Amino acid sequence: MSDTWFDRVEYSWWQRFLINCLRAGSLPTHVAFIMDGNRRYSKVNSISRAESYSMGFEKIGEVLDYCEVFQIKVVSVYAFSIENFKRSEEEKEELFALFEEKMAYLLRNVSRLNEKGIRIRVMGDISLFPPHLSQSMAEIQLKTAENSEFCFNLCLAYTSREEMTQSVRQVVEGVADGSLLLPDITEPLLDRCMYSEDLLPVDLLVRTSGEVRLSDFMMWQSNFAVLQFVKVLWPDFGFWHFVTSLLDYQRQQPRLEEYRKKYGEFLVQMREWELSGLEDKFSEGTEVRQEEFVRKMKLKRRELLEEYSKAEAAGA
Amino acid sequence: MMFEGFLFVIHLFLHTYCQLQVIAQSAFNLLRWWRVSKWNVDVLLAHSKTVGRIPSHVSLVFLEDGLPVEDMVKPIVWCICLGVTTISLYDYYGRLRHNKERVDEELREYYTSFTAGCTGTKRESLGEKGENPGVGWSPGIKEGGPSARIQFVSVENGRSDLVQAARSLAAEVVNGCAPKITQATIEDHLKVFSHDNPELMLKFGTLHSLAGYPPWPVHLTEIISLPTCHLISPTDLISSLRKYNRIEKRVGK
Repeated sequence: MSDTWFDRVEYSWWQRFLINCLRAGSLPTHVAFIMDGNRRYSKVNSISRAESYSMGFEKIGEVLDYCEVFQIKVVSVYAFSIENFKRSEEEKEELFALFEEKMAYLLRNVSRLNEKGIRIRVMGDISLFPPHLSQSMAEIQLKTAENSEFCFNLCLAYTSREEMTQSVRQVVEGVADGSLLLPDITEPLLDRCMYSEDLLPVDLLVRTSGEVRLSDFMMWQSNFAVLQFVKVLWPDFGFWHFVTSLLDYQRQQPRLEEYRKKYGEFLVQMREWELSGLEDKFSEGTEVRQEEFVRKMKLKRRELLEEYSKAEAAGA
Repeated sequence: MMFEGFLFVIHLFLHTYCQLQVIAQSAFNLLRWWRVSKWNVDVLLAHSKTVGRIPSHVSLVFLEDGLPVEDMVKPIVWCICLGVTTISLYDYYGRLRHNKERVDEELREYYTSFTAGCTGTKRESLGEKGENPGVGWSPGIKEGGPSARIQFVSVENGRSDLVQAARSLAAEVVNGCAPKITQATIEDHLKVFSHDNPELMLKFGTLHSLAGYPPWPVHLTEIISLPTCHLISPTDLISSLRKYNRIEKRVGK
């Protein structure tokens, strides 16, 4: 297993020049990647699918380095969709073997992750994976939970609709058990109940391979993101592709920022209007109830991770 | 300071390039205007035979500033003539939504001129269900009308719609029901895009973003961008539909 996830990329003089130029402008805080094209890459280059997936994972390390030099704080990648469970058993086994290898690698290097302040999160329903995988996914999240310099989100067994559904389920259950009242259900609350919790929204979403759809990935969080559909397969995604995406982000960002700001103002106005029409017993204490609800929800999620992390040991 | 200067030059170049793209597209549209101005629904349908499948729900997203309504109604009418049964219209500020009467008027006028002299027998729908949307359709477009449903969408229907669905489901709980929260039940409670998701989105303008478009329905929508809707011609729609049909829709497999 190569060590590229921690290896520093060597930049040429013109790359360092471009990096400095781009850093003089606004840069995204949260970038999301749909890493598409691994299977096509294997066909085009006549290599095995397993090798192609492995190269795709190594590419993540390289891209994380690009994100670090551009001071991007949050990176999310779409590694495995719930829909991907429909793939052949052989392909799933190859992918699960790769996930296991990579999780083991990250667990061996937890001290390096903690040194760099990198938090690893897995967004998705990890109960759908075999227990040994769920266990390692839970463990890496728990061991890096206190880090705050950089956040790396791996979307595994994930779809955006499933995420939005579970968020709605959370708040409806909150009303059912009395922790929330109906008017407490707001957009910011739903946002905090997503797997992304308190993360900043996606600023730039990059999809490789030339496909022009979101494939059920972070649709809620990417509502005002700059979208880049790049005609290159994921293992071929390089520095120049990333720079052109960032340049396009810088070009579009002022207008999207204006839209986002106006939308924020609209939400505030809507909420004020809503609260003015409510009786005091409904409008008072909303924020307190919401905070308490979110605190309990995060605690439950952590307890679930602790259960998963012990499950393999208990089963052994 | 030096790097800021170089970045400014790079962006000036990029901005000029994008503007030139828009100007070139508009100029190209103008140059071929004399040819495509003769297009009517018969010509459109004849060309559309080579396109492949016509999606049943198309979303038209207008992200250009100052676009005249006369330009916006053209792709709507062409979609209706091709057999698209649901058309969602989105612009961030809801300009179309707040000017429905004007849109209806312009649609009626353009539809009348585009279908003038049409033989009628050629107005065969190429839609999936084989319905015939053109014949017998009255130029007065109403939402939920018999042949093409047009829905006006703005950013207010976006995430807020999901919030309202959540509240609606929670209200059922308060009333003593215990609804099972699934994707299907959420779709039942959405006001817009309830069980009807756009298969194709045509996005007009150089802004590469959904710009607040409702997030729930676009999970599998193919997004095709055109630099401008100004002086758009039916051949742009035809090429977009060909591109749509060339895309392999794998859905996770």
